[in-house]
Amino acid sequence: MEPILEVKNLKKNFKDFSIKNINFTLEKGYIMGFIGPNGAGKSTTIKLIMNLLKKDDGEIKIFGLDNIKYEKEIKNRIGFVFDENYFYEELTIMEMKRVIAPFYKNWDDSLFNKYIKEFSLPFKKKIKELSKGMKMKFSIAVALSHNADLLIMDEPTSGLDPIIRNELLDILTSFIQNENKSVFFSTHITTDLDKIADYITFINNGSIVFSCTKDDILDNHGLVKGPKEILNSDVRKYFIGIKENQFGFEGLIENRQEIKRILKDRVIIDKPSLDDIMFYYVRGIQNV
Amino acid sequence: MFNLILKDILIQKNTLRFGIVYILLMILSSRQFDMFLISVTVFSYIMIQVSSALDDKNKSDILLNSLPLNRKTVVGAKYLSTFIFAAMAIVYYILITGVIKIFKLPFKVYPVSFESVVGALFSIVLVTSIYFPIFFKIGYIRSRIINFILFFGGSTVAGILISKLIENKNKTFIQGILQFLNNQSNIQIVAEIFVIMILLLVISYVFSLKFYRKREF
Repeated sequence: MEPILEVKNLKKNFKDFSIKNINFTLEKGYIMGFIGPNGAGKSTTIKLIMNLLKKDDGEIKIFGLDNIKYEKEIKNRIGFVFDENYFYEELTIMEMKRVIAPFYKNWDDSLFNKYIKEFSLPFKKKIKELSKGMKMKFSIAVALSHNADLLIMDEPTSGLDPIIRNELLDILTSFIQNENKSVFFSTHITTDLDKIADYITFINNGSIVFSCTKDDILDNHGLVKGPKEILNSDVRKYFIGIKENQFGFEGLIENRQEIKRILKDRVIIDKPSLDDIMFYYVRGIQNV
Repeated sequence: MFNLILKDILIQKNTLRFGIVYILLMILSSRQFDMFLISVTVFSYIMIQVSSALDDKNKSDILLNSLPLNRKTVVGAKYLSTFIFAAMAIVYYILITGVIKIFKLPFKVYPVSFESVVGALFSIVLVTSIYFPIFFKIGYIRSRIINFILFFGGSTVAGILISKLIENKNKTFIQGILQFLNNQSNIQIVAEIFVIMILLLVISYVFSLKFYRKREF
């Protein structure tokens, strides 16, 4: 079966930042969380996928099709939600819909109206008068109203309260019930992903650190706590990142079983959260 | 494409209201001089400027280029909008002068002639053909200075040219041109102007599209 989104050897150079040889694949029927600190290259990657930025090298395939050659066809089947509001603030929800809807081959007006009602959005209000949460909901209503097969979302939850964030996660969960659909979702609020993501792709400083199933990541990695004495140079090399204080240390390791064999019960090994994983990968050993 | 033009109109409800006042004032102030050409050109140009400014302010390039449409459509719609704006300005002018005539208000009105419509269209095409490639290359904010020079520089140069033309109307070169035009029928001249306009538009469009295709957002 063809992957719904495939990124191969993607490169893009800017003056002071670059995307270095990015690779990852998203299959049909799954939600992929795209995580990384601010400035890691999440938005840049999404803009490259959407052809808002021009890649220098590599290949991006969506629905098995080249993202530039079949741009229009592909975008008909993509629903996008961006972190900021990019709608015309001077227009009302109704007017904005009138401008956008005709571009989509499969626009479903009754579905759109259903979402607007469900989200209690005011049809006749200007977009600039909407709250941040409402703007985001409008964005989602547009993204879901043309029978898209792939949702691409860039930090949709940033700046939203926990209630709206949870509502969004519910919407995504029901969207994914159809096994032909997928979601690619960038965020730095990793707790959102604990709930819904199947895959996690982690980008740092323009490079992919890993891209695999969430369960694998959380099961294999270990958060190790112990006394400082055992941290000799042999032990240190197993660690992705270490945080030390006067009483002891805490650090992240990639293979929980391995460190258990070596250190036995001289340390406590916990299951890390995605936040822990992101923190230690970004911090690394060199900052210790 | 039609819905992009609709968008350009919907976001400018205030400008459209302003247009009525603007053209009314222009007509009322025209004692010895037909203000049709100036008011129609200036109002169309203002509409283009405001729509470009609002596109830029709303970062609409990101929205539009995430929708299933070609960049060709975005560029094409901007050019077409220009003519819709011009048509609106002309309709405004005709309606306002109509009202003045019907109510026999004590203001001098000049009828709209075919020549003046062609003249207005020509000046709008000229200005937009220069402006749009710059707008599509660098966006509204950065093109503001160039725009300023274009607008005021253009009108100054036009003023100087016309005064020189009148001053030197006996010189052979000018006479040659006048002679050339004299020998032609009105229809011929209009046809020539249209050919020039189409050429300008085509060249301008090709450059705009070339620039816009390379833009990153």
